Amino acid sequence: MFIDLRTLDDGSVLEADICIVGAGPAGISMARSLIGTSIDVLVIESGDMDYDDATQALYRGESVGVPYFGLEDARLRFFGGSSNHWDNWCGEFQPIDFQQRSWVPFSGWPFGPEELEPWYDLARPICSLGPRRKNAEIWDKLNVEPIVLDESRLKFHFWEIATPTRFGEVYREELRKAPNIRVLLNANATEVVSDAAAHKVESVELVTFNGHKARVKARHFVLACGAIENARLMLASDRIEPHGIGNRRDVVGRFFMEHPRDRIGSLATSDPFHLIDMFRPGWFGEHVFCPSITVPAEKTKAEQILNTRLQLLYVTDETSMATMRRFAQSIEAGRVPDRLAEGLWDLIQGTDITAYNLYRRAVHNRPMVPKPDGVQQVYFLCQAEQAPNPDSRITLSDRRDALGSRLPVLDWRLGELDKRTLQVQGKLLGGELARLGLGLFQFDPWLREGGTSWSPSMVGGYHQMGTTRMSDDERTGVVDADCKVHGLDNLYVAGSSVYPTGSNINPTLTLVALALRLCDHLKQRITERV
Amino acid sequence: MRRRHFLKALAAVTAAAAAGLPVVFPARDPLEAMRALGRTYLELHPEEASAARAWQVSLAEAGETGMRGHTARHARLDLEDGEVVTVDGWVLPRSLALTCSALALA
Repeated sequence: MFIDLRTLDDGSVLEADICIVGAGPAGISMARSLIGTSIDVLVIESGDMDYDDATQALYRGESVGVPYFGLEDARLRFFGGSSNHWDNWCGEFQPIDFQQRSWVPFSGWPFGPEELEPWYDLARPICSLGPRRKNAEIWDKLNVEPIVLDESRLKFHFWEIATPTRFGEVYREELRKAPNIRVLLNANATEVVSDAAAHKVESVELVTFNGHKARVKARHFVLACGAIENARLMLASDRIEPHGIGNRRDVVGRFFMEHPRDRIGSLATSDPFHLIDMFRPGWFGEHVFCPSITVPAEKTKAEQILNTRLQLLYVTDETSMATMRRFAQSIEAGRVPDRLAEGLWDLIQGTDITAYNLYRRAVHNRPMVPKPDGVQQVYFLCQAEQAPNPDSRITLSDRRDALGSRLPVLDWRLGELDKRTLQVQGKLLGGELARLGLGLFQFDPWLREGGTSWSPSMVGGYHQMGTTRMSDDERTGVVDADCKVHGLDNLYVAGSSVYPTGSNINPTLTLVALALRLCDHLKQRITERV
Repeated sequence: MRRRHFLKALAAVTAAAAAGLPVVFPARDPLEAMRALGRTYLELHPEEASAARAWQVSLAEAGETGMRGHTARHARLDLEDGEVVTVDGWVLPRSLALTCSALALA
């Protein structure tokens, strides 16, 4: 059932067994997994079913560290959350990501990959992914002969890409029909209120744009608002604990991580086409797999580096491929393509490559490739793991949003290890490509220097993580292995904010797996009346 | 070997070694490009100066006909062993960097 808080009486008090704050991939996955149980669930969503400027503006904030996206642009605040602009590039964390690595301060999860594996199995179909595949099977299906890397130095790892799953659209009807699930829309959580001893959460305070206030009382509360907003809400909830709820050890908001994405260098080669063809995303049934290059765990240990991935991309001056893609999208959407005459001229100019791409697609189910003589440069882009850093953090500003809540301030910081990893990995890559006779690799200028600075074109992946990190030790973590906030009996956190380390792969699949695992824990607690 | 002959031979060697890799250095004069790389390498790694001098001697000993095989063989071994260095952003087998350095010192 969906309820608009604006239609309820001012001062309403709602009750539930579990209150989930946030209806993004984590919150919706949890609510779905509770359908059909005897547990009464209330999901709190700030937005409505569609995008709204005023609600989105509540995501504004300041950025004072490494340049980052506008905070209001980096996520979405309506039903379905940031899955509403998600491209659905996924992957599972690798075993090294869970390990305590002596050369990576603050690394290590409270559990290993085997703990998450069954939850990944359940999360995969929720994210529209197929079963887990081995690399050899993927290469075979992609009909590509991969280059033979020395696997003691580098290895392939695939992104798995499914049709974008808009959680708010795909799972809306299930939630609407579920008798034990209520979704409260236009309900902005402004404070989490604990008892006087700060041992137990008693309520979450809500407010609407039309001035209505409400309160939710529940046996268990789950914050699932994303890594920036989870920290913001906890820090802002300072009625009992002066530094914010669950923040006795001053860890809330710290350890903000992203996946820095930047060019690391280019390849001088006489045969760019071979590599471009091999590194293009290709179809495996209904799913797409995109190869990338990572460093094997043993080598990361030997080199004392992070776990980062590299993707091959290229620059071309030829436009027929982009035109074909634009035409296909327009036709699929039932529209006449824009700039039709200009586009047709592009296709005529590139008749040979257009015909070849149609042949590739029709006969071999292979993705489009550019015209070889149009390729100007082949380069590598990193999607880097970031080392956990307590000084990389979210704090609160004195400025407030339209509802009176203090704005978040992001101070994103990158360190020496983050940059050195790319210098080492680029060297490994260059050596391998030369060994295979594929070309000579040259670092981009910013990586030829030491220090911690990155190029001006560096961006994140819209992957905010780490601000309520998981640790058995409350001095280094906000939540424990069950995602329960240390020191509070009934407050939990779901989402990528609990990641102690963030790997190099997009975070959504893992956060859905963790949300399902948390749900199982809560079911047990409620069933056992703990 | 006289310097003029050495330079000529080295140019042939380095061009041949580079030809093993599908690459053209981004300069109009390959010899000058190699020399510049060698200078940069020695500036970045002054501890390699003695190795570069020894390399110069071994290239000279290999003679004009043997230089090509000598450099190419060592470059291949370097790549198999992961013995690569970074010079001016380029990731090169160490032997090639030493050859460039030998050229710079000649």
